Amino acid sequence: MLLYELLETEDSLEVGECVGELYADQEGVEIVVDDPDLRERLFSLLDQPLTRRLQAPHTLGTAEVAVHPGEEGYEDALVERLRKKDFRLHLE
Amino acid sequence: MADGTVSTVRKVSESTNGGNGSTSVAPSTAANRATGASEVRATEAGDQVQFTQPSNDHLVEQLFETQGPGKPNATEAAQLQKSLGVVDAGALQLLARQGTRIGVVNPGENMYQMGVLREVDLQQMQQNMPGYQARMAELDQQLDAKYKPLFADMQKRIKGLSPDDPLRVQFDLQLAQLQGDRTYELSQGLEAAGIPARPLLPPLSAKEASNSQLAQMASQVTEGPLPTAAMGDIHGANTPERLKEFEGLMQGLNGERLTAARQEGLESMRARVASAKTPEDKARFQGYLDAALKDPTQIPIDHRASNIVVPNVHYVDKDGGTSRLNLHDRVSLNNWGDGTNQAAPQVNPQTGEGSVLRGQYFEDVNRLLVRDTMVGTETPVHEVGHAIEGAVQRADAKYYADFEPRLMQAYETARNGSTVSAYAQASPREYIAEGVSHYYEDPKALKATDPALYALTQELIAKANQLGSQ
Repeated sequence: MLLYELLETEDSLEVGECVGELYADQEGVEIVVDDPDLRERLFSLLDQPLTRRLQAPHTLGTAEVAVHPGEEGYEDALVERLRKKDFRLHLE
Repeated sequence: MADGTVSTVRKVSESTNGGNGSTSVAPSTAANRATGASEVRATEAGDQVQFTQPSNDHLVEQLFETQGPGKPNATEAAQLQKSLGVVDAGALQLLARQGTRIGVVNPGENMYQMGVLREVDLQQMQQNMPGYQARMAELDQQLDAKYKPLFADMQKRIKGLSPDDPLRVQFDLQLAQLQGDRTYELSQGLEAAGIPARPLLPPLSAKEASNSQLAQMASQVTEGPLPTAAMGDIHGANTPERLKEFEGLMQGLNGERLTAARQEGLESMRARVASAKTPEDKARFQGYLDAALKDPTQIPIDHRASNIVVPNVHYVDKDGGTSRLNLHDRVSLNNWGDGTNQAAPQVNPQTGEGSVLRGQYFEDVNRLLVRDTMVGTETPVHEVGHAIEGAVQRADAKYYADFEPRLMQAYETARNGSTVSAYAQASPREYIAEGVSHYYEDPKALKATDPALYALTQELIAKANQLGSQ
């Protein structure tokens, strides 16, 4: 997957330049990013399992499970996590 | 956030509407919230002024549980005030006026003591049974008028085709889908009519059906005919007393339909005995038939074809006795570790069942619970999103009747495409709750990923503000 920076506009976000690549499978995650600071922060983030939220059946309950590379939901969780303000990255 | 700090103008922007004294209250915008410009606003003359407003602390605080195990401690209260302080004041006022309460769940705390579970009123249910029966007869008539010709047409197509014929397989599937559609409409109709009953297992959402263990369980349960004793067992009626009570409710709700279904069940059993291929099978099937003749609760019923419904009553052990809960509360109890908030020992990573719950909105009692470890996260705002939707629906049903179809339409688009989070695709209710959560946490991302949800959320919050400020 390619990693793009997300640029903040007045009231939204725009996809900017490609800043690297990311590969995730059951073996783990590989990051190819030039910016050493970003690379370090990504490694630090991805060192921990991500969480995925689910609706508890028949209720308005929010359940949470940890997801690891290669598991169902990991990619979605990664996209959502990297979009947040501290990263502002887009995966494609 | 402490009282008296420089607050933001993002919470509400008010404009007096002419001379009629009414006030329209708009929600904050993505731009002013995200840029921080909200703390300082230029006057028309171009001067920069700071607005010092009371914070939302007191508005958030008035939503807290004030006693019992759900009452937040000082640390939790401070974190909740920080998490929820971003929510517009008018919306918080609306929640307070409607009696919404926020509780924090700590390990070992009990869902009953939290006040979120309601016992089924058995006596009232039994008293209302004649009324339920009359409404169910009407409902059946409506559904039969729609579905009976469709079923008959499909059965005509199936007739004469061998079980291996690809056309037969296709028609069988179509018939099953039609039966599923009828079950879904029945389920909706029962709820709309206020009848405390449902099909044996309610139809699952597409997501649940594709992912959940529940779907597996549903398919196992619904594959073949079931005796009412087994249906009772699914509902926790695992003692003679509970089973007797469950059987009484089954008879009360289904009346003649149950008698007819049992008659058909007996006929099938007799046919099975008659067509048994070995003496051993014949003896075995005869044994089942004899048992069923002695005890009607053992007669297998084709509950799909006969449209049998089950009472929305689930039996749970409590303090050495019996607690009766509806399905929603039974599932909630289970999700929170059977009432003790102990996480279930096994977590299914595919479905999340047995996983740790972060929070839940209990719409029947207008209470929301947040796990102690989640008070400082986005979870409280997400759950408040559910509460805001419910509050607007209660306060202005006419408005909500116009809003909901638009929400459903946007949800359908998002479900089949992309939106702000995978969780938002779970259901329309989670979709709008995620909208509210992201609207306050990261509005730019919301607008960028799902402009339709952004617009709907903004509209809902504006409505909540208006209703809360009246």
